[in-house]
Amino acid sequence: MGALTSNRKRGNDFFSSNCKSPLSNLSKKLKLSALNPPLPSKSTVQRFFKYPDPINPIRREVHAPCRKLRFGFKQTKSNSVNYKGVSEYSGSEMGNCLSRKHEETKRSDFDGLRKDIEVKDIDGDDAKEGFFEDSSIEEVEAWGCKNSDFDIAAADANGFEDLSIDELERCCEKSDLLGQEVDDDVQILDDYDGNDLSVLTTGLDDGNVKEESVGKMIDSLAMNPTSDSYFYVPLYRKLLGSVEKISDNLKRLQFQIGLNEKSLETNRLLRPQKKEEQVIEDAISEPFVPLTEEEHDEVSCSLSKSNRRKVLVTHKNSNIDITGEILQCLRPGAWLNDEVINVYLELLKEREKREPQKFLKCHFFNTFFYKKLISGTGGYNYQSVRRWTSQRKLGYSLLECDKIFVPIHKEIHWCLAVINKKDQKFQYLDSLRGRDSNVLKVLASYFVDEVKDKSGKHIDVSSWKQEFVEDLPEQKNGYDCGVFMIKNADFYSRDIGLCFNQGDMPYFRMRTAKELLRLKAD
Amino acid sequence: MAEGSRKFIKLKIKAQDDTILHFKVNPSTIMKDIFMSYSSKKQMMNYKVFRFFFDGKRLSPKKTVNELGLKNGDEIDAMIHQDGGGSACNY
Repeated sequence: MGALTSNRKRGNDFFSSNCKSPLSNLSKKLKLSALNPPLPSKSTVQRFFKYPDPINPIRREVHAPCRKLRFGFKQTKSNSVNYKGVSEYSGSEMGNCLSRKHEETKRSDFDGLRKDIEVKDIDGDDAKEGFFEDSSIEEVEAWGCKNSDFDIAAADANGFEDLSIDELERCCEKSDLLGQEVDDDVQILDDYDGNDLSVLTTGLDDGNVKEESVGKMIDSLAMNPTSDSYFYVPLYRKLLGSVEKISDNLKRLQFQIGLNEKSLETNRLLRPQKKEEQVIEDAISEPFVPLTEEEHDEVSCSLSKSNRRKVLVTHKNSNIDITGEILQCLRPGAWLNDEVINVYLELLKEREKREPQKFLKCHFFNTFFYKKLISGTGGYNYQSVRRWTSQRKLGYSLLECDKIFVPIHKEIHWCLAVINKKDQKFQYLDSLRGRDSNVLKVLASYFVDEVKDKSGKHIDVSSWKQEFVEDLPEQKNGYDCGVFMIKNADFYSRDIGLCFNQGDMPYFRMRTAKELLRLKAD
Repeated sequence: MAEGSRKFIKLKIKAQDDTILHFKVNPSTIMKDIFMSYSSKKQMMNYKVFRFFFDGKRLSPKKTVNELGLKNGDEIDAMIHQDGGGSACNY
């Protein structure tokens, strides 16, 4: 039965092409050889199965000497036509044929099961055709790629409907009429696809509904409906089959993704501190806001030598004049002086007063406090600083502060001590990892005396931890300790970790200079 | 004479090494004059090497004794300027 159907098809081919070329004989032979395997049935599954079988016999036949002769004869003819066709009118056919090949290779990549067979066959064909088609392949390849992509898209876009077998047949006829070179291509390519061709034609003749999609495909390729489309179809069907398999997997995966996303969302909802994390992130980015170009210029100008004598700003509250000379300690590589540090610490206090909800309640002693405290005989003299912290002078009580910052000046080094009332500990921060337990001892006794003097109560600080902070940014040179010190105070008053390092120092110098010039710390 | 002596205020300036210098000044005296006098006695050419504090509050050299509210017998702290980078610091 199958033989009959395939014969019918070959009859068609014969009618359409035998008057134009001697190719019809060839095609007949080819198809006969292709028909060797059992007959195709309507079932697509069976067709898939049977597809690869006929390939091997074809290959062998191609290598046969008699065929070579015929090809040789034909070559001269088709060669000229092909070249003309490419340059004049049938570029589309050529391109289509090649694009189809291109598509097939593409598809074969997707279709893992049949990959090996198809790719090999195509390669073999190319090798055979190479004599007279190589040049045109190269010329049209790019175009073919585009075209094929477009075709696939168009086919997908079109809904599968109103397809008639008539249409398909018309297409076949058209392509048959299109000329010899097309037939030529078809036959050569049919070397391996002959069986598929017959499969298609049987389906066509029987009016199989499934085959309608084939017509649709051809329809979508309206630009150049050729007989090539015949062997395009099985590949398309195969692809469809594999796509169905993949889409099953995709569905499963999509479901899992949806499930995971939902569980993630519920987890997020279960964690209300998410917002707080956001706030902390903002707080961390705030100390690193880059200077605008304007600010940068202003700072560079103020740091220039021409401003040495000029009083740039005066901090009223602390009666400190910042001259250009004093500010120049903020140039890279310079040592920080007490004036800059003291004004900056005043600015930190003003900042906290401005936005009390954002910063911890802090007190910043000036750089001379500790020196004064340890002056005199015995290395500790509370009386000399007793009047430094009266409520009238400060405007607030020292004892209600969360943190009390005490800058420590050690001959040529700056470090920082903190009376951390919030966490009940005394901290010592040295960017060079120095330790001075005497500082913490002195501060502990100071705090006890201070509480006693100001509130009349006795406080026991023996349980308070005396901590030499190890987890802090390390200074890697001999001049930045002042910047480290003021930034330690800055970050601690924000109640965030010391998340900066040596690399940030040039920026901090510029930023501090800007803040001093504006008399406003951010 | 009694009127004149009442006008004068006695101030003490205490150095970091606890040495005290006594000054008898007019309430309308600008602080800068006192600072310069102190500096010259300490063999310093520039008074700006000192920071003068009263009870922890920095004294502006531009203001007068009266403006700063200094009373008879008040003790001013004279601190030498500080700077540091930490290069040669040993513990």
